[in-house]
Amino acid sequence: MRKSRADEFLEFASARTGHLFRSACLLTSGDTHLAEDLTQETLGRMYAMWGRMARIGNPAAYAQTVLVRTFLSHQRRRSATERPLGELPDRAPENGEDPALRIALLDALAGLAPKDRAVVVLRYWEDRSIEETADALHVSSAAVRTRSVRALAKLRQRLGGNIAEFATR
Amino acid sequence: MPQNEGSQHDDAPHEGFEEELGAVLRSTGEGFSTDGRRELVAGGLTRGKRRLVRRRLAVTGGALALAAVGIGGVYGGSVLGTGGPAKAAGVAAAPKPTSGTAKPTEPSLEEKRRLAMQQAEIPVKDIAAVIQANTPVGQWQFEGLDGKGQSALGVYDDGDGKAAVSVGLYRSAGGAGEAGGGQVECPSRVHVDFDKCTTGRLPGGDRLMVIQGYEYPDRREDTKNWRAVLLTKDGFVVDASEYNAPAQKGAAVSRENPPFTATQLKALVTSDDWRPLLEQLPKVPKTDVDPGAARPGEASGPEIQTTLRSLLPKGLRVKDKGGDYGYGFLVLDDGKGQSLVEINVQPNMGGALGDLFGSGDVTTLPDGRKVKVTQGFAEKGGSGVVSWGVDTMTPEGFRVVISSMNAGGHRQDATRDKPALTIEQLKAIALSPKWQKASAK
Repeated sequence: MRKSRADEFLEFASARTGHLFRSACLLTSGDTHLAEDLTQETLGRMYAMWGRMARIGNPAAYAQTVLVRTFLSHQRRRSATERPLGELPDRAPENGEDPALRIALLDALAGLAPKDRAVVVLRYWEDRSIEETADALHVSSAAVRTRSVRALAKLRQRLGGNIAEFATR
Repeated sequence: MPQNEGSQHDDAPHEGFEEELGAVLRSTGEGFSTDGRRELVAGGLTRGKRRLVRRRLAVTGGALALAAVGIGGVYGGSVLGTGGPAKAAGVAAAPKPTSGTAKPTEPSLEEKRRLAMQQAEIPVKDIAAVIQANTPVGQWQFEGLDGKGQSALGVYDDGDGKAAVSVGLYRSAGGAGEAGGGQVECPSRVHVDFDKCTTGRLPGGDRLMVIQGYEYPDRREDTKNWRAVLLTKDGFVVDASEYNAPAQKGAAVSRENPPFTATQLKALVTSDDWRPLLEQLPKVPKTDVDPGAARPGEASGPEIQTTLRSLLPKGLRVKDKGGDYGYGFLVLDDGKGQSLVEINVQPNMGGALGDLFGSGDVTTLPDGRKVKVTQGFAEKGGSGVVSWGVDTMTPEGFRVVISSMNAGGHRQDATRDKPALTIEQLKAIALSPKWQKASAK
């Protein structure tokens, strides 16, 4: 018998949720409650599409795109409804990680416009090309370039020496 | 991989700061614990199922679907394409197949249809010209005028505030469902809030719906979306939308109402000028498969409604009803206020057993059926709305889930203290053997 939609989906979701959640944490500059909400919303959208859309060539990548779009639409109507769902345990820094730098990065990300942050996450966390980023955000490549340059300048300014120090460790 | 863009800033692969940034992002991102992911998966599944229910509703009320999609079709997905209004309801745009990774199998019918839809190559400027010629004088700015497609999106300014306007041209897939006649039927107020909706047959046999509603069916923003949809008797659809904001989704409201009156919108969609453009739409491949059809073992909406009505206690009046494969709803009135009752009847749901019945007030009956009772505030409820539910599943994965609210529809305020049906009554309905009989037909 063919696997049920729920089974197939669960297989996909179990494999991808961790990464989606982490992406969401970066997009929300560390707001894990919102990140949980966005992750669930993204999974919900993926489920609803599952099996009915013409084949999604790469569901994992598409889920990331859905996440970013969900995030951006949430930002646009931010004041509307925010309700945290459940708790994730607070985490302790893991080996080799610099808590100060982590906080500095999340702060610096928080200082970016949401769309700029989305560009940074797609390009440097997801390793998407400018075209792929543009496609995900429904904007032109030129717009991605502009945002990218602006965001990098801001991040560089805020993170400055910290980051070089980290990278050379 | 980053592309060579020719810009001084981004023409190289990630280097220097960019590379460092990537490393720090990864380290920071990976520092977030994913211990809670099982809950997230379960939450996502629940949301997805709700979304499907909403989508299914949409199949019943075409206008609702389109209202939910906002402006389906302008993003490149088409209202009638694979995604369909209902199917695309949850996403900003239909996914593009990733080239190179697509499976080299015979394209599915849906795929063929989608391809056919994508091949519409009407110059956008021609669509824009018809819009301009059939609307009151004003300033227009259209997107992608040198492109081709089957829809145009513009911003219209009559001096009273800029407004987004779009028109899409489609072929109807025929039938009464979402892709056919359902598009020109007003939605039930149970599921969507709108100010006014009229529908009717025009001299000559074309059908028209004009709805004055909102960009978001739950009105989380006040952006209005007024639409006129024409379904010609030879199966073409002209779908025009206007907003009281310069862009869809997120732009601030720029004026009290969208610029064109219902009469003006009607004049736009019924213009003869569309005819030569409609003729350019590629033909939809013939199919025996109704895109909104049942999955195996699913009962139809009318069957579900009928069964549901037969199981109701005496003394309840049915004020509204609807449904689709696997889903039905009734708005009941016992004289003390309206109460919405919704039911899903879903075979083969065994895979979701753990998610659905893994926690909460769950009992197992002697025959192995799981029963879960929930009582709480309604997710999409207005003021004071509670929702009571009973979810049941047989060991074979046959699920019947019923819920009842103390309001006549989603997003409406409470009309009474409690839903019209008690938990015991809901249980009795959900556990009736009639459901399996109805689905086995």
